[in-house]
Amino acid sequence: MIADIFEILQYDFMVRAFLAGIIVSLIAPLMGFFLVIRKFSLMVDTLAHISLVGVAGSLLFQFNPLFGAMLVSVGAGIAMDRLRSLKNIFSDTVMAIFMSGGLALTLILFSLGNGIGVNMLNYLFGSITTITQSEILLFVILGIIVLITVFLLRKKLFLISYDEDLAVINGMNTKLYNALFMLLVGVTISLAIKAIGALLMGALMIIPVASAMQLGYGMNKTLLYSIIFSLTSVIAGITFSFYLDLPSSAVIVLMLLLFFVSSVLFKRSYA
Amino acid sequence: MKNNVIISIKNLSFSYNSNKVLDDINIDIERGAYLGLIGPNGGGKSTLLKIILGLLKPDSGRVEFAGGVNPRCSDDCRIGYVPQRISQDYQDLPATVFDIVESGLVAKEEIFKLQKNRNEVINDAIKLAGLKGMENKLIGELSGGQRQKAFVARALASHPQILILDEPFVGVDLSSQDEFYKFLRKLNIEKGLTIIFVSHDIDIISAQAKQIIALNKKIVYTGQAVKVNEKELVDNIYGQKFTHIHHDR
Repeated sequence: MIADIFEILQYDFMVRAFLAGIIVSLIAPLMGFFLVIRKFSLMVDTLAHISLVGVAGSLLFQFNPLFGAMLVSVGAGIAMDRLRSLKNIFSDTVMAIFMSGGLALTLILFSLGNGIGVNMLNYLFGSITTITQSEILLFVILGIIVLITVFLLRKKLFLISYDEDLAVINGMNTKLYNALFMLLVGVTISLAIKAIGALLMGALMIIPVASAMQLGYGMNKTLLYSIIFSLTSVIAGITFSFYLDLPSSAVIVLMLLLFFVSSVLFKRSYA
Repeated sequence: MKNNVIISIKNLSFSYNSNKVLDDINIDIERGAYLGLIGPNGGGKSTLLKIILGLLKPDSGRVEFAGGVNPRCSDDCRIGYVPQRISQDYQDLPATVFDIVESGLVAKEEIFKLQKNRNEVINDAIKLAGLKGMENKLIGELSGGQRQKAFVARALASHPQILILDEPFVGVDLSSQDEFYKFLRKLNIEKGLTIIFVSHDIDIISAQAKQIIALNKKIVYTGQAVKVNEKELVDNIYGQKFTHIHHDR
């Protein structure tokens, strides 16, 4: 497979695809880990669907859809988290309201814009090979910022995710950290939407974490294995999709599922 | 505030919407107390704990701590907290005993300036909880009693003066409960830790605690634990006539 990858790298668009894929595969499971701990996995799908409002709006008003997706997903993420923290409305109810509202708005923007349908498909199912030179720069800068921030704050984010009450009791500004976390999730989703698509976003952020959790390790090793599964799936998925002429996002998801099934079987064998 | 008092609750009232759950509560908790808080469901036990912990604000009245009104800024009155439903809620958490105990320190740490001897502090807390050698075990692999101890170790890592445990024995078998109570009592006697625990089980409370506060929206009883099993008092706590069937402790 290594030789195949070198052959593919003769094409500029594939180099960009690999670079974007590697960045997304590093940051997506990191954010997914904390969402899983919060029992908030479905938020990924909700935010991914809502970010389509930003994509449709950007295509309609002709500015970069990555910024539109980022603006909407960060805003919606912070709003959803605030509603969740009020504790007088169930989290899944909040997500259902936001998801249907987001899709309704997307549909309206979609119907207002003639000819944005083809572009929209790229964001629904992902189109990692169409990432442009200017977009890749954004991927690198934002990806590095997310990586460094999560690395430095991972223990604080872990505490807030599994026991927010203790974080409050010990004097942490949980509102600030939650807002920062939702900002990072929003940025990650807006980058991943072009790579994997809104409809398959949950797979990239959640399946590697679910697979790694089967192995029975603590926080650091679970994070490490999540990234290994995600990175391997993305690199293999892009390579196979190139040679088999299949949609890359779909092949990436199948690779992730392969890891999940293997880890479940591994757990059953050694439990 | 008297010298030997570590928490003083004054004229405290709290309502959820129009439903009053705490009505003019006045309590002084002495330093080194080994205190059980008991009452029926909806009687205000967990609400009172949340107010003491600063998670809820009272409608009226106040909680004062030795050394100030804010427990978060006072070394003299630092609070350690062990949440309820540990056995159920953290079964699948991808965290080792070390991870859990370490998380008791991270809230107060600066991002670029970690506590110098933090590993030593964490390992000391693990050792104190009797979990030495289990540092790398997953929290879900521990028995109910060991899991409770891991969360007590998390609280101990920040060197608290007060330890608050909310329904610590839900889902824990009886033999583990006994061992855990001995461990708590040892912390209370040897470390001088003020310990407050909540339970709805009147037999556990009466057998284990030294002092009792019985709460049913108002204070129904404060005093020695041994008397709390008296039938008239039980009827008062729960607000109606009961046939009280005891279980062995």
